Amino acid sequence: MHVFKFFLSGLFILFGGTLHAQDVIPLTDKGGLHAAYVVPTDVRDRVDVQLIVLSGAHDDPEPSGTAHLTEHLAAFSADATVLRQPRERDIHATIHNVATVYTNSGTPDEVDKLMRLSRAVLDSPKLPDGFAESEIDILHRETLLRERQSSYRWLQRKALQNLYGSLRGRANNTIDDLPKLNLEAAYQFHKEHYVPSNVSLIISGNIAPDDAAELVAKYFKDTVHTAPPPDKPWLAQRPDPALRYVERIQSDRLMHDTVQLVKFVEFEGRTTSVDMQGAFFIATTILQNRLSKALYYDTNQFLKMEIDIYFSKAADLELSIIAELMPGVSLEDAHDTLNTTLAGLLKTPISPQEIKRARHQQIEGAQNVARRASGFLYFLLNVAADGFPPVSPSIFTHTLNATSDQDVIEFMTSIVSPAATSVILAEKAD
Amino acid sequence: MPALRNGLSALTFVWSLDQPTNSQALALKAGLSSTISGGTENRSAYSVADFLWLKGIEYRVASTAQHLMLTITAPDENILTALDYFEVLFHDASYSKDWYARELQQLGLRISSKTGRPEDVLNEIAYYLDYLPGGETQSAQDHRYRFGRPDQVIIRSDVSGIERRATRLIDTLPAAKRQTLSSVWKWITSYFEMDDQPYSLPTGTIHFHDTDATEMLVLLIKAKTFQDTAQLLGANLLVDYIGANQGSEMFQIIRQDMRAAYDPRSDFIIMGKNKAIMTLSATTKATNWPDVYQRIKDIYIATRAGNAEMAGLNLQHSTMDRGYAFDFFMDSEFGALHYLHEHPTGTDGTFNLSFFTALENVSPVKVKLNAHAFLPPWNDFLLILIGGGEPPNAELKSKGYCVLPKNTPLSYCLDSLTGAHS
Repeated sequence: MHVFKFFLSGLFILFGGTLHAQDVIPLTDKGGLHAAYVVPTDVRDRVDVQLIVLSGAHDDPEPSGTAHLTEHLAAFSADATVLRQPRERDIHATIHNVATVYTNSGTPDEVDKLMRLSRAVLDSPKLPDGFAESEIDILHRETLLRERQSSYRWLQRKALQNLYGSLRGRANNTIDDLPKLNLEAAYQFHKEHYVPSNVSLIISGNIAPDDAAELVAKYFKDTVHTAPPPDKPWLAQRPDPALRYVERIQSDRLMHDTVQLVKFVEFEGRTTSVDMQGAFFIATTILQNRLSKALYYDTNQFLKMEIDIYFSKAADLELSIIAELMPGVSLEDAHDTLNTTLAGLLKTPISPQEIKRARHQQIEGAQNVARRASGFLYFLLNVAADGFPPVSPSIFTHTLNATSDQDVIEFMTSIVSPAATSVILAEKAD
Repeated sequence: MPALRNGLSALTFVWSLDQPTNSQALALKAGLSSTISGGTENRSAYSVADFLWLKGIEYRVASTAQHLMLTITAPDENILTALDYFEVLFHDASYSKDWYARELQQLGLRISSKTGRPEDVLNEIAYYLDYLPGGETQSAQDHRYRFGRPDQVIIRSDVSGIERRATRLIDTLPAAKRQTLSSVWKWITSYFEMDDQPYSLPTGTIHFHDTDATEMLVLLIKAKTFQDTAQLLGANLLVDYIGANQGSEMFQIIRQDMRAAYDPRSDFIIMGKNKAIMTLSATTKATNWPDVYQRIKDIYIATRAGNAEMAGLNLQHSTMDRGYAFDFFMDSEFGALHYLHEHPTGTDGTFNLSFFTALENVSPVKVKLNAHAFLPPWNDFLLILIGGGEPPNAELKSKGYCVLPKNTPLSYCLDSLTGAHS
């Protein structure tokens, strides 16, 4: 998934604590699973089991939202099957663009239950009569609630639809498709995508590798590898490199005038991101440093800024910048500033010192983030969601140290080069 | 105070206030925040942010009616460095008008009728309760106060030498705080004769009719001063039982049985010693809101009548215990606020936080049996409706009714309903 997210709104938030090296140990007796790993840590009295279905919102068939509905059905089904007392715990299931993640957490003596809950996600959802059908209503409520609460959501959707010229795959049509949601599509999605060969498992926390291996064998040995994994046509979606789409809209749902920019970057001759991880993380740190300095610290046009960078397993990249404007700044001026800044981002060449500093920033950041349980889990998930082995903070450090300066410069040069862009200039209306 | 248990050290610097207006509170926070984020003559704003990032240092500015707080947290190994750095910022801040303007915008309240978020409603209400009404936001120049010596410093750290280092920092700040915090003091004195802001909300209904909305936020809210902490915690437990999480009655009934809302919930926010606001809310299909309102009412009345199930109440009790312990040992701002609720002017030596003593003594059985004594009557709640659908019926309007205009803060209706009641 390779997501790098950066917010600028005045405060930086980091976490602290003691941290030790973490090994990522592949488990071999895993039945038909795509992969299984154990990441023992000695810092917490807890165990987390992440079951990662390697399909997410980008894999939606028509209608958009099908993968999300499937996530709901599988989560409630697993919970009801194993616990039979759903009031005992909150369900933690999350859908991302490329993966759907079911996280079961508990103390080390609860690990057997956590494994049963994880295993049950792969069984065909079984829910009481009428419950599954009415879960569609819940999905309506959730989707409309989120839509109302975050303007970033719909602005980005609009920008992606314009970028890809599509309502499917890397773009979606979630709101318009709500009335079309149906159980048949969700069950079919489960049948096609919740198959062992499309699923990875990560057990992390206070657990011995041998115990983890035994548990994985116990609960997943009977699963059968089903090849090939489901198609992912969205990986081939490419906008026209000459596209420079700009749309101006007005909305009374905005707090401030807002610019949303999405840029699609291809890396010539590359087809997989697996060996580009180090360059990605260092280059994107330099990118965000330079962007934030130019757009936030050295000017006063922007009130808030969020930079999202998504690097796909097929080695292409989406850069998303959403910026709310200070009162009195025109959308056109802000757009000009954004374009000029992006185009001139490499006017000053990247120095070895800057690369060293970015590397250090990433390593420090990773160490800090991983000190909190949720940060550590997300860290493991970030690369594993693409079906690659998870990366622990200590492996991450090794990877970044092994990345050459030249790789970083080439990566950054590709990001800054002219490419397809889609911009929404959104004016706040009263 | 005991050290945090997450590898972080924290210090909260506290300056006393006396009920500023909401605009002044905002200006104070923006002034303090921009003093730090705006950089110094020798350090750009970017280099300050970069340094804090690299060292894992975080800061937060917060205020209550009585206190302005700056909480600095850092990994244990960097906390002394953080204090060195903040000393420089305190003394050499460059007071940028632009940074102040930006901080003011960022800290400003969101209009909750625009977002439909329960948390935005809560923020508006909390501001309404905490601060005196009105007051112009100070102009950019007015924030140029220099740091005076804080009235209190709350330390959460076991790092050797931290008290000595914090004392040294404080000693470098001007002692005559009332002169150095001139802007703050000017605001304080101008309101010195005013009565305390009453801690209550009107009853009745506030309605923002959004013609474009297919959903409706139904939110019930009550601000209450309890007799003691035991009463407050009993109410907290019952409100959690009603709607705090997936084990709650609202989740089970409104989401799982009625299938009417994605995230029905309750919130119990402690605002001061024995003071809290409690809310019950759900966002539902606009046409369904009267049914959802009725079910929330049924759940509340049944719980208040002593009909809570013991199994659910016990689960919520252990969750509440764990939650407060977690917050106390992980969240420095939470600990500082609770300390200030109980010791607003500070204390020396060994002290006791009665909140946590009372927490140990909560008995779910007693709370269930005496629920009516912990929870206020249903009619004491204020109903806030934001979204589409039919307007409220005559019965709901009879206790007071205010139509909220578009892009208008809730205070418009809170004032109107309060005036009508008085």
